[in-house]
Amino acid sequence: MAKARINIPRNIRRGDLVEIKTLITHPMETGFRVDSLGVKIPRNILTQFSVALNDTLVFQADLQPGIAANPFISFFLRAEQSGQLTFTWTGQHGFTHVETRAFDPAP
Amino acid sequence: MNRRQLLVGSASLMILTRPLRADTEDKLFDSWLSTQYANQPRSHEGVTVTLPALAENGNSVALTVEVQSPMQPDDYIQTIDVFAPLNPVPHLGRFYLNPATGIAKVSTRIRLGGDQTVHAVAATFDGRLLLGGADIVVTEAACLDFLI
Repeated sequence: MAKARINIPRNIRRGDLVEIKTLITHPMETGFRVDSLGVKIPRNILTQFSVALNDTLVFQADLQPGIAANPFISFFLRAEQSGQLTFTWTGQHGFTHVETRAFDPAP
Repeated sequence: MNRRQLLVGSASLMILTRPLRADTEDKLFDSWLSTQYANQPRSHEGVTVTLPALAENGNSVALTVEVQSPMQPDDYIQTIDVFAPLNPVPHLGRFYLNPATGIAKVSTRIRLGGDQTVHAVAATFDGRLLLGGADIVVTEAACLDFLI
């Protein structure tokens, strides 16, 4: 089971530009490596990461094998409305991981 | 061939190969760019790619792309693409932004298959392309298995 870490700064106010940092454990196997017997290790990567605030998409990323293992992605958000942030990682072989966080800028 | 000729020859070869390699890199990038974004106006401004000058290991290299933009509904960056021409899969990813993002700046960690120029392409909401890049020296490439 994948583990995800999400960092949202505390004490944010309306109008602030907030940096949100995310990290998830995932091998991001490129499909180019071989194991000790010389057999190709099949590709297994995360293909998409998306973030929604109250069901409105605010950030999305398409990922390729060139993204390092345990993908770290950070982006910014203008703190205007409060609500729930939903982080979704999807990948090959039916991989899905969803995390939710409260987003509540002070007025 | 004597020792001196060999030394002179290999030195000039080293000088010659660098621009040649850079040339193929640029061709790869240009052809990818025209398949993704045909006939869209391009300019080399406003995109800052931050990479370490030297990476000892290509498996995980911190990358930040920042684009100058007000990020307002009437003027914002819609996507940022990252492209590393010498990787087996040169397109590293695409980030989708919108006015709610507030500032066009994303960070991630990438794999690199050798010394190269890493390019970033930002597309504005009205279809203009802004280009930027950074050079990096990679001591140990990420895809050694692939290269051997």
